[in-house]
Amino acid sequence: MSNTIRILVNFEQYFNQLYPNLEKYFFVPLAMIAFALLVLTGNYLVNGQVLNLGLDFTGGTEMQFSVEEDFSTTEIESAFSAAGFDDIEALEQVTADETYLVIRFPGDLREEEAESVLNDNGYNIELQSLSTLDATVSSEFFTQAMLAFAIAFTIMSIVVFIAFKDLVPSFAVIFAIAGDILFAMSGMAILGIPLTLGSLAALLMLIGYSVDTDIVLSTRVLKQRRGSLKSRVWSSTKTGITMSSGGIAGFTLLYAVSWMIVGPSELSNIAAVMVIGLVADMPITWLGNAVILKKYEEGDIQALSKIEDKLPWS
Amino acid sequence: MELKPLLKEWRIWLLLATLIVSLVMLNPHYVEDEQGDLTIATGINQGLDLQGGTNVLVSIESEENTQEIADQVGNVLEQRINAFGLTQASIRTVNLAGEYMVQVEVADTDQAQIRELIEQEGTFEARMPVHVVDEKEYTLFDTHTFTRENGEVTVNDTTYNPGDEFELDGSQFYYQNDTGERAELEVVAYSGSDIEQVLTSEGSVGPAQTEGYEYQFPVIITRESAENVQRVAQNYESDGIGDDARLIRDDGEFAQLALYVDDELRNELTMAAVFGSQVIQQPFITGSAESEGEARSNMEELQAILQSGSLPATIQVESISTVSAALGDRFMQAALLSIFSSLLAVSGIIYLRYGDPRLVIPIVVTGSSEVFILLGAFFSTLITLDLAAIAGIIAAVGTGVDDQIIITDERGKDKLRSWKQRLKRAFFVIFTAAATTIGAMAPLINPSTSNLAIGAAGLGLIGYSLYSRRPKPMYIVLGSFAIIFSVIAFQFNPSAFALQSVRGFAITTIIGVLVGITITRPAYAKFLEHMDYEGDQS
Repeated sequence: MSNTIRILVNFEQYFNQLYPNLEKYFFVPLAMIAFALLVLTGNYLVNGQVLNLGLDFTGGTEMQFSVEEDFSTTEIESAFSAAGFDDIEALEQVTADETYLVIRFPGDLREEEAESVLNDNGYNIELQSLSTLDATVSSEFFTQAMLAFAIAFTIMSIVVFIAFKDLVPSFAVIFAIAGDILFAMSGMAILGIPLTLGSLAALLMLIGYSVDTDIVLSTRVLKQRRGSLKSRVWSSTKTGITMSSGGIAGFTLLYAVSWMIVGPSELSNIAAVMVIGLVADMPITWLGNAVILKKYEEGDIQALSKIEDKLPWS
Repeated sequence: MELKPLLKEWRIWLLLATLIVSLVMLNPHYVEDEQGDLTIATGINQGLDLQGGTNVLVSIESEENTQEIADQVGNVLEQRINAFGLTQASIRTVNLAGEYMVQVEVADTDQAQIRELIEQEGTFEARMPVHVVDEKEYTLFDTHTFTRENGEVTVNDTTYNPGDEFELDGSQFYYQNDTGERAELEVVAYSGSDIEQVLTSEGSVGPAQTEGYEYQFPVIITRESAENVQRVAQNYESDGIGDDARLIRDDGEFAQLALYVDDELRNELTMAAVFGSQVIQQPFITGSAESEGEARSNMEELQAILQSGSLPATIQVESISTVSAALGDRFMQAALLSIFSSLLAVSGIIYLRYGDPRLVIPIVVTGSSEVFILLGAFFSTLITLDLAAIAGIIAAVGTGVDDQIIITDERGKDKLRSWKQRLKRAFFVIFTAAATTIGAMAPLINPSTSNLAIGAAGLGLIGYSLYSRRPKPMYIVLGSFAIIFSVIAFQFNPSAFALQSVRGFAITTIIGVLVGITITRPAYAKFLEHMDYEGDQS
């Protein structure tokens, strides 16, 4: 017990040292966002896509087999190309107690065709899952998914603007949320997590989690008048970090458990996106959003309100 | 901690009552499986990715893509699937950005079989051979003379080439080919639309005379078509007298009835001579296969296709996905274990932060109640538990725990104000966060309504700004932006169907958040009030 209190006390001392120069650390979230943009641009330049698209959005066929024998993916790929399927990609999907064979094909591949090629090469297999999606349908799925994302982001912005009523705090929240999402996207690009409907839903859910911590900060700093600004920022930091840690712990376990039992799947993709986003949320909220609000409370950000006064309709 | 005042709180009772209702609805009970082992079963609706099953999306390749055609296709497919004996099938018409499609969900994992069943157009024809060497007379209502010359066949002054189709007295003729010796034509004796009933219960499978297995089942055809069969049969000689007599062609070979499904020859069978002398409304359909199982499944497939009839439009399979029952089981196992261990991990964090086990227990109990209420009250009735929903449960519990941390921290500070005032502030945070989460998730469930809501909110903001005493320019800008966005997004035809695989995630999160703010959160706040927790003093 005394340990945790000591950690908290240490943490508070650290915060006390940090606080007077909090502005200086604003570069951390900025650097993170710049890094994310760099990764995504790099991915776009190398692969022609901002994020690697999953089967939902590219179309094609994916099958998962359990195989009785030991297998090598290169052998299986060459077996398929000998049978006339050149674009087959064979992968291993490793779980805690078994290794599965995953076969990907850009077009429509029938199970019977794959099965006969594998049987001819001496593999005894059993189909675990299969999905085939036509390219025209999947490109429509992509349009619809982007549309849903845009609608969700817009609704979030409207709710935030109405709840906070002021330009600066609202933009601070939207900045933090966009930062979280961008950073999570760059994490997906680096770890090779494809953009699927599942990972897209996770990116949207980040909005919900990110807003939680932002609202705690903004409410304590702007709506609560008791106590020094510093103590209000500190109390919200403490609450917010606990909240994020809870989320990170929960989703890390979802990741670990689902990975062990079924291997990489939609579940582990969702969990990974959430963990990366929640980790990014801590610096972006407490070194980014907090600095903006601190400046705003101290009266340093007047420019925006002045612009607002000069607009023709006011 | 005093328990007595706690018992007077209706919020606590509401939570308890909801938990009891959930338990009743969850209805856990023992069932004995095939091996005789006892397992616990519940009333939870499991999605196809957890119990194993197949999902097929079918597009309709017809000139006009209307809901009506899609519904008709759906009806035929439903009859076919039910006739094939697949239970728990769900077939519905869906709309993907303005195009109607049909979605079929079956709790069966033989996707190759399901695909074959769906892809069959379902036209069935039983045809008799008409062979012309030089000249042949054929009588239906009238007598027609077929003349063969240079590989061409002339009937009633019209000349046909191999591959041609034509009609005489309402019967369809096919000119298949010219072998050099003779022209081979076929006439349709009866077709799928003439079948009134398929007598599936009288179907049988047995070893064939030579090798392999044979199946047969009777069908009932209309009186009219049975008369047509008789008219056709009267054009053939019989090879004898009695029950065993068979119809023969001019060259003495059996005149075999050829059965076609989707213009593909399935089987040929000899015809009893009695077809020529009587009107028979109950002909048999037969077929053969290498193994008994194959014969049975071929028979069931053909019966299903005959019962459902042919599709009103050509269709194409756009997408198939299947999950085996074994993989589904592993997903379910992963789901339960990860929900449980996430709760454990969260309690670890709470303990680290507050160092007070008396706080860990209520927070974890509240989180678990949310899972329990979701599973019991919602997943046994309204929604289906699938992979996405499991991630949704963890997401909802996560936001729930966030809220409890906010309430707990509010308890610990600013003691000059009353608990009620502090709670009000905590609930401002909780409600705004809930509104944002719901707003972010709603487009996954219904993008078009969500988009309209943006437009309406835009109009509302502008109206509010114009009529309020101190207009906020920010709201006018925001409102205009919202309206413009909504109009542009509308052009893209927002479609809920495209997002259906993550629908469960969004619904679960939203319901979880709602259960949280209405039932579990208020109970937790009351609980905290009566517990002598004064907050951490750091």
